[in-house]
Amino acid sequence: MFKMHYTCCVITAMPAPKSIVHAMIIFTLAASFASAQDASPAQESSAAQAASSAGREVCVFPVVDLSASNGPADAPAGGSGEGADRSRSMFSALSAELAGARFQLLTEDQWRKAPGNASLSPRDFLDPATAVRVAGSAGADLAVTSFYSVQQDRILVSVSFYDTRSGDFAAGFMRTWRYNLGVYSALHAEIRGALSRLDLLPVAHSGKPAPREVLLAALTFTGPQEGMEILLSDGRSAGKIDSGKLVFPAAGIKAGEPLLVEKRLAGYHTAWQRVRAAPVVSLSPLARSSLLSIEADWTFGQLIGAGGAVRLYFVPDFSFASFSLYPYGQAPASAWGNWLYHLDTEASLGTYLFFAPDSLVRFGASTGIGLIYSLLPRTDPSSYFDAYLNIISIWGELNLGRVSIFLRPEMKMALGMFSPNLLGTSVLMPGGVFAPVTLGAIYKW
Amino acid sequence: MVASRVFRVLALAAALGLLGTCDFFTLSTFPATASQLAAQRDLSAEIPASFARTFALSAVTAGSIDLVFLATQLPYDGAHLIVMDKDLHVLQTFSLQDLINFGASFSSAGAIRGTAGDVSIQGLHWSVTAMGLSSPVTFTTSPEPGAFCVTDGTDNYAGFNISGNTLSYYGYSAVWAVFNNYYPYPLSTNAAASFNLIGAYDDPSLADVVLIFEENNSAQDYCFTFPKSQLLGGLAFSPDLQTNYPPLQTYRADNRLIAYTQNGYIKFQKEPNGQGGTFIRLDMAGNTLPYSLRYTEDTDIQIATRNAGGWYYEYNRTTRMVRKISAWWGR
Repeated sequence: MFKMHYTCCVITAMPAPKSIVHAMIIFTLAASFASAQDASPAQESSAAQAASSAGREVCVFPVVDLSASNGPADAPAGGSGEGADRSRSMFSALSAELAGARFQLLTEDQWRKAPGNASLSPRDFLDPATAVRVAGSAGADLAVTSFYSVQQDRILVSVSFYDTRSGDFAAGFMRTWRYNLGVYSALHAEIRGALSRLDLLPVAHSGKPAPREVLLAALTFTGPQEGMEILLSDGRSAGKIDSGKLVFPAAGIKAGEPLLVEKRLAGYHTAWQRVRAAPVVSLSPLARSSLLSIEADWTFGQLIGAGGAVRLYFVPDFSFASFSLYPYGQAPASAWGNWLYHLDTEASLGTYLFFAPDSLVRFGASTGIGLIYSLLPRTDPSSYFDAYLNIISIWGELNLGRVSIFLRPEMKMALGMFSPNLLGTSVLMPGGVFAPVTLGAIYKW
Repeated sequence: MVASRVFRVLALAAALGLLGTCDFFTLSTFPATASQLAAQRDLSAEIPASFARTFALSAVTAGSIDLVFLATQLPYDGAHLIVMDKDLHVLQTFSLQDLINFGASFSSAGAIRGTAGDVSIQGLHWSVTAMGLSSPVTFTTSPEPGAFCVTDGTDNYAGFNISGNTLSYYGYSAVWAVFNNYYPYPLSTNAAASFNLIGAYDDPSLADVVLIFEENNSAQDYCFTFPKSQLLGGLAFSPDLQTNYPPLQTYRADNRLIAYTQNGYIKFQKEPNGQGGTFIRLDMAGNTLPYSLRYTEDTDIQIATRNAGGWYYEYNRTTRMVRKISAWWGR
């Protein structure tokens, strides 16, 4: 049925305008009918249609005005006046629906640049063979032609989609409506319907073979770290990066096949990377493995001073013991008060949570014990000792390679276990209200 | 969009404002009072944990000698009186059978006298030295010691008691002989009013004796000043006292922490959230002066001021620490 009408179209679609109109009307009616016979299943999911058309290129030819009194009003470039506006509106409707279906629209400049295409008039594209040829030469998967004719208060609209690979009519419609503003709503709906039917045209029906698999003779891994060993998912070593690359004889690996490779290098964290088989596979660098880092910090509630810490990792970049010192002063509360001097020392155990050492953002938690020595030069006695428990400190860290910036709220409780002390048994809160918060930087050795 | 920009500008302004204040940089984990700390003693060796349910603290100046008395009432173990020098070194500890109502101590010419519940501590038996006290100390029964005593500097004393709306006092000689009659006076024309006596102060530099009351049915503290000569001279007052001796009325101090010192008052105002509070300074007319001291620590304290100022003492019942705090309003 479909083939028969298509043949009819080819025979009748000759250059003379009147005959073109008639031929197109006959062809489109027939093709629409034929498509409609197969359409209903395809209308179930426009999302599926959009997915199948994602990235496919389409060539939308100007909308041709075949009204009896038409002027040069073919969209998108043609003329001015009511006819031109109408043509542009229809062209826009087509473009919008195709873009919505995730087609990639070629511009007129793109499809005109092939030899011989520049001189073609909009009406020439109403010839399906011309449309398919031009679109195909531009690399499009789909060609879209359309025309309309206004007679008194009615409008006839025809839109046709052609598969450029098979040359077949893929979908389309021809409708007449009373010509008013409702036309455009109806037009959008018809285009969407036609696009949903478009999904019913499987490539296999055209008799063309599926794309041929490309088998790669070798994979070349590239990476910035010399000596990095690459292991495949089955545990086989592919070798080590030398002079920035590793050529791995991999006959039989299909191009595009997903691979999970393990990357190893002494002094760095082992990591796994998902790649796709390709002649050249670029590998990301490994994160340095640190067993020692130093920390500089500044704590709210101890701002007249600064601190430092040493971290010794027993799991590189992950779990550690930390020893810190933080000297700071405390200003008098009144003009008749005295300066105080404190030295905060702490030993703690900490660990990172959730994210890998090379993550941009990391989180961690630590706990520990500490002792604050306070010197009050004008007080009897002048030395005080406040032991405290760092119940938990949780920090967020911006990991910038060897340097990290962190922010760490802390929950500490004075134990009042030495005498004399100043804090007794109490939760440490600057100003009696806030939790201590430390801003710091870490340098990884 | 506009709201978002306004919010960002306000947040930035708030952040800069906070940074711009001294508080941001001077806020400390340690209490602000630490910078005013002149001395501190841990009395946990003298006072058993959790038993010191009742305590009273007073400071006494006798010539060049300053003494601090801390009395504690232990429900199952009688009472203790700890005597310390001005820097809080413990001089002597006394055990008493009971300590119903420990009162202020007072002094004159090298003698120190005080009251402790049903007994009076007779200064005649104390020999004050620069470093401490010599034993033994004896206690003699006082007929009606009253909670608070003042002296006129001639070894005559007055002890006050308050019951409901009625203030009464006795005059005593140096050996606790009553030489003045018992005088009951209504404090207020409101017979239903009920007062508690918080403190009595006899500053030698003042012609008046200062008595501070709290009224149970209002949120007011009353600071009365009575002529010292009239009080100890056995001259009658004109009732009611509130009308004839108009007191300074001030919004009630939290935890009864209001005291006279150095020609003014210090008064505690608790933070609404219960996290500490602030001592403010009032002059004798009740004007708030631009001095204050923020307390972020436990304020389960009692204070004892010196008439001459310079410093005061506080005892924390929870931590059993007694501290000497430098005057933050000046010396």
